Amino acid sequence: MANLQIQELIKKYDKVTAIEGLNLSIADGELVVILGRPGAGKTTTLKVVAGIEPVSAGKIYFEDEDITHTPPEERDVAMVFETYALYPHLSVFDNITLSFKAPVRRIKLGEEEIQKRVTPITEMLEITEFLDRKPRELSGGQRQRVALARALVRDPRLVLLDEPIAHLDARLRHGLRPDLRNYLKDRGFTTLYATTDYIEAFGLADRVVILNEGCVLQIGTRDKILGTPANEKVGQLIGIPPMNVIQDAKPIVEAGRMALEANGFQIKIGKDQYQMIEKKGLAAVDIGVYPSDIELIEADNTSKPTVNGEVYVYEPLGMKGALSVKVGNEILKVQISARIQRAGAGDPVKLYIDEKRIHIFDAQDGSNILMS
Amino acid sequence: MEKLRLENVWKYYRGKEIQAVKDLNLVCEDGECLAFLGPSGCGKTSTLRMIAGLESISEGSIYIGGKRVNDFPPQRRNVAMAFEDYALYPPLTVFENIAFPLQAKALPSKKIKTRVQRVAEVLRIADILDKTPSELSGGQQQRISLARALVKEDVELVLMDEPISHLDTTLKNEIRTEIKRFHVELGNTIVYVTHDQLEAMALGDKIAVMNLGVLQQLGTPEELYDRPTNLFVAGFIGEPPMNFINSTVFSENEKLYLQSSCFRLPLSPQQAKPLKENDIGELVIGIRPGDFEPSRIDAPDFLSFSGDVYAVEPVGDITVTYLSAGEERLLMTVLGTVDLKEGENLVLSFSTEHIHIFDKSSGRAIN
Amino acid sequence: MSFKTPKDVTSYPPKFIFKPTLANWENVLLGRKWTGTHYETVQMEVLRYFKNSLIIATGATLLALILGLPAAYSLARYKFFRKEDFAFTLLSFKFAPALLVVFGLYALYQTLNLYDTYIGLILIHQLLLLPFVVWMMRSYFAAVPIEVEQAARVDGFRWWGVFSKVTLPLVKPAIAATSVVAFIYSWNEFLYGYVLAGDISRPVTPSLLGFISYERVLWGQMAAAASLAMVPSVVLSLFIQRYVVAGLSFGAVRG
Repeated sequence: MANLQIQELIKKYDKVTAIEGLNLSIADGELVVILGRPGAGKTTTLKVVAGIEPVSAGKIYFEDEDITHTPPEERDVAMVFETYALYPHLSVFDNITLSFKAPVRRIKLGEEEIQKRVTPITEMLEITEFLDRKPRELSGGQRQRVALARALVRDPRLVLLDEPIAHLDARLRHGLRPDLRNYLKDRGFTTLYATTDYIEAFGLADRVVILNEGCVLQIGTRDKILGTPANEKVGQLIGIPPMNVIQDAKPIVEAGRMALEANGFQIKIGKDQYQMIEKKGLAAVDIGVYPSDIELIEADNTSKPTVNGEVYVYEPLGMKGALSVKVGNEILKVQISARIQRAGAGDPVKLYIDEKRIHIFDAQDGSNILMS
Repeated sequence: MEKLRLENVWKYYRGKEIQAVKDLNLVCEDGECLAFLGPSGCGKTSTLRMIAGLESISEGSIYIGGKRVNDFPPQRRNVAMAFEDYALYPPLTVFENIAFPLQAKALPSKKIKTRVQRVAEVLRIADILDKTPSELSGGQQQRISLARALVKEDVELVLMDEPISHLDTTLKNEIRTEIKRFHVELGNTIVYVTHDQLEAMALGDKIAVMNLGVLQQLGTPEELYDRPTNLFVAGFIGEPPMNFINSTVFSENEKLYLQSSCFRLPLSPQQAKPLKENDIGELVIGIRPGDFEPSRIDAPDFLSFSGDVYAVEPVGDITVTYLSAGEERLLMTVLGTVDLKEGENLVLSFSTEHIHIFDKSSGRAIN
Repeated sequence: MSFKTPKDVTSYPPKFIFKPTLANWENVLLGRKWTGTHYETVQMEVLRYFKNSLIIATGATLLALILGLPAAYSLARYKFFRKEDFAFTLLSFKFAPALLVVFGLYALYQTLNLYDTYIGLILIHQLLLLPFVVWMMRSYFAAVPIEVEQAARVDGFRWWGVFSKVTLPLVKPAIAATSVVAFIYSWNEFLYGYVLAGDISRPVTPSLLGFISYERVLWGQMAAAASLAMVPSVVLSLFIQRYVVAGLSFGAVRG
């Protein structure tokens, strides 16, 4: 196992910059997840760390050893490709064990040893009955599990997983997630994992790296990221539905009360928030609020400051529902319990947005005002 | 008023070797959004293509707007389609692609312009109206295909086959809301195919769940969530998926109990009745992850049992907890955070009224 | 025609129904002639020319593969300076009209003592096959998903290991098909064999001209010899049909 250090990594493909100045340190045995949209640069990052793509600039270290220019076969990493990349002409068993036959491996394992390593993994992934089949005879989900097995069966310095459970059905995904984490952590694997699913990211990771268009927006534990998203784009990756962002709100003071005015309505804020905005000299801010942090107010007489709106549309989502409410010129999504009566389009509603639950971002670059 | 009716519809390939759709019967009312939901290969796309006229109907009849359309080619069926493989016209610009069906009906160009503009704005493609499809990403092309289907306003049906599946989550969320809004505002009748249960739940007024060519259940999102009629529907709808616990029936002192490896569940007379009447051996108890409470509850309709926590995942507004109890592995979700750690033993409870009981061999619900 | 007697061959109107004879085949294959009373040995070299063709075609195909496969692979996988120009140059070998080239080549071969040698013919045939091999195999190599090769590198194999353990097995059917087509092309080649080979290394195709002598044309024997010469091509063509149609799908990659 090794710790991984990436310094100022830049990766360009012809004229396009895929990764811009990535810095990341992963401790020995840590499980770090890269969360980002498709095309954010997650796969590129993993490929560069694996060595199958060369860096354009920057350095990569394993345990203080500069491996920036070492070829992939000598880096001792294992990788699960998003496209599985199984060997089509080999059986599942041979696919999983081919790496043991590579000349680079200094220690040659005997048949029995190999079998001992393979069995617990194939059992965990439920692919033991397919061992002598060829990839083309398997379904997509089965192939994905074979790709996972191929990486896990080794004892590499670093494990790289590129959306390894994305194409499995919901039951398997939820079931495998904790098993996978326990497997990796019990063996002390240093892991770098890429996904577009924030639930997967927060469920698995010790720390999460939020990547957007090649740039790192935030690196931190899940509590830190949820509590203080560094950028409004971070918030938009999280939540079903994701965070609402109200753009270009202006701070105002009316009769001693401070508020942010945007698009035809106002949201009350506290004194310290107002002062922070003033201190930064911001003329306009963006307001971020999670759908679960907006409350639907039923009663008419309430001391809470409310905002008036009308129902735009309602989407039942199972246990909860997403109510889209038109407030001023904005449409805000509110998470409500599905067991309330369905509201009709155009119905008036009152919303309460707790000032302590909102996140305020610089309107120019989207960065959180609480971060310097 | 019925807009769409499927009567004993079958679809087979290669003689009768492959049966993609088996004896499908359903009705879709005017102004409803009917969602076909199921895993790949369940027959939903074949059904949609038969409705569209792109596939022949092996057996049975399809009626659109009261007329039997089995022998009508697609152009005579008066439907609009947004299909997964886009089928955009490469030499035309985005605007021209979307306007195409309207131009075919010879509408005045000013009207065409307004309609196209409106749909394009909703789907966030107003800024690329002058580009050609080859210059655009898959997600953008998918939205153009969707726009082309939505721009026709006086069709009998709008048919959509996984129209937002290739978009990333944020865009998917936004456009799904807009499709719903479109539907509510225009009141058109939509048939929507998807494998994503969240999409079906959000958009469908009625959802038809299919598996292996057979209709499993037809109902509103609430009906499917609260009262699934079989194991497949129960396990497919809702995320995280429903917990399934194996159990057997036995009787003691004239009362019926369900015995599983984690707990013994006494049955109320209503629950016991259907079991007494039929001779059923093995049963599956279904409990949704959200129906567990992480503490002991000593109330008449609640059952408590203990389990060992093997993983805890706080995911923002909810926490997912994994437990093993007896031979079962269970998922529990609670709002907010819980003070639990791996390796701890937990007593949890659930309401015996909110459970689902299924016959293991047939998969059908018994309650 | 190979089963007709000389008289039947040249009869007019053409005879479609005739009494077949095996005399021509006896001549060609066994080198003997029935004179009415006994067998007389006849000088027939067809089998020897047949062997020549075999040597030349095999040699040329092998050489084209040895040179062409790496070229095809590098064109498929790597980026280098003026890559497409290089590819086009390889293709251009086929453009030159043989008749223009062959005279210069004749003079050159005389100088280099390559005239009427196996090597000489193998070299020139290989030059004709190379563009075909490279262009065919380039697209098959490109069709191997690059991530499968990348997976092999991550698993610990250097470029040769990846090529031999992963890439080659996946393009085996394509190589087989390409070799067969190349072989047939070389086998059927006429002009260079005619001009650049004397008696020692003459391939079977130009050798058929030997049946045209000063006084008459031995149609029957020529037909027999030509039929014999066609056999490898026909057999191999039928053979590759199976492979080409069998498809080269992989099932390794999701899409």
